[in-house]
Amino acid sequence: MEFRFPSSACATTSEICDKLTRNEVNVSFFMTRSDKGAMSSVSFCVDRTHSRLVAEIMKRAPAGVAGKLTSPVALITFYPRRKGLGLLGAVLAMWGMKKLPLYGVATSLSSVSCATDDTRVEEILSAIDEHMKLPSNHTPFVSPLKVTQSSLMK
Amino acid sequence: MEVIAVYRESKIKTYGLNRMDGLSLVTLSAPVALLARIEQLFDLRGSELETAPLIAVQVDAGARITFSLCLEARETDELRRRLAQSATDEWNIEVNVIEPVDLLWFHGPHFGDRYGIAEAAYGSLSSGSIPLLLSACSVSSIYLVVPGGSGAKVVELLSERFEVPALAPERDSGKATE
Repeated sequence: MEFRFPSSACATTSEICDKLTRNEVNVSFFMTRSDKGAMSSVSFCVDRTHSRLVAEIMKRAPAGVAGKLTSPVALITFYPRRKGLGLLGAVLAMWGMKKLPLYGVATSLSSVSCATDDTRVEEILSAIDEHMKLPSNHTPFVSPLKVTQSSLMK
Repeated sequence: MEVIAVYRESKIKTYGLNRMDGLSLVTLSAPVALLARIEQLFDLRGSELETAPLIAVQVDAGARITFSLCLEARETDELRRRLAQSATDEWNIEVNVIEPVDLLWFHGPHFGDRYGIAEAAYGSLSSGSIPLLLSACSVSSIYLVVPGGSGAKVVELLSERFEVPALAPERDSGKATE
């Protein structure tokens, strides 16, 4: 999901987050950027089960706020990053060579996370297999464990 | 298998809050087609540009790709030098630098699996009217870039919603005293 709005509306980001929190929606990827003080953008990923809710948020966005929904999206995270730019460069070069779709990238101290088209994940995994070396006992690409937060103690 | 977690905490726990002041926020915008030549654009092996605590990449309507990097001053000069050497006019790269900026980052348990974390972070900055130049949250980490000089205030605001662990006091050696 991407929203664009005038940078003068600095509270818009926290308002979007507030709506998501009230509806107990987790965001697994979130980015904001302010373009030369003129326009700001907010991009985030939510589980597909919340698509309808996010579409409602988009419909009720205030004037001056433009929204765009892209679905389905997959997040692919690479480890370890270790502060250097080598892993990021290798990941982006692979994406570019294979002309794979890319919606956004965020790094942390230990990882590089890429938002991409969920329908092309198999193709991306093949590219990773071709261009990168994974340990023989690497972790599953999709975790068998899903952690969900609840506000109710049963 | 699904694990359902319930959190009961007055403040959201973190593993610590980090801050670097006086950095440069460098934004590079280029056609998406240049992605395949990214290692030529950022030829970094053996250069001084080895570390950048935060990098965020966005693709605008499939046409242009924007790289946002937080760098120390000497690395900004190095990047400018490398771009001048390797980039050509036909690459149509736009560069913008904002300095100084302060960078803050923190991470905590299961941040990527919980709702409300982003709201706590952005709501804190909004309550203090701190402009946010760039931010990126992925996996369990949150990175915030604010105008230079705002870092200390941001720490103060975040500490109202997030618990930042303090160093434990030193224990005595346990030696017997006379």
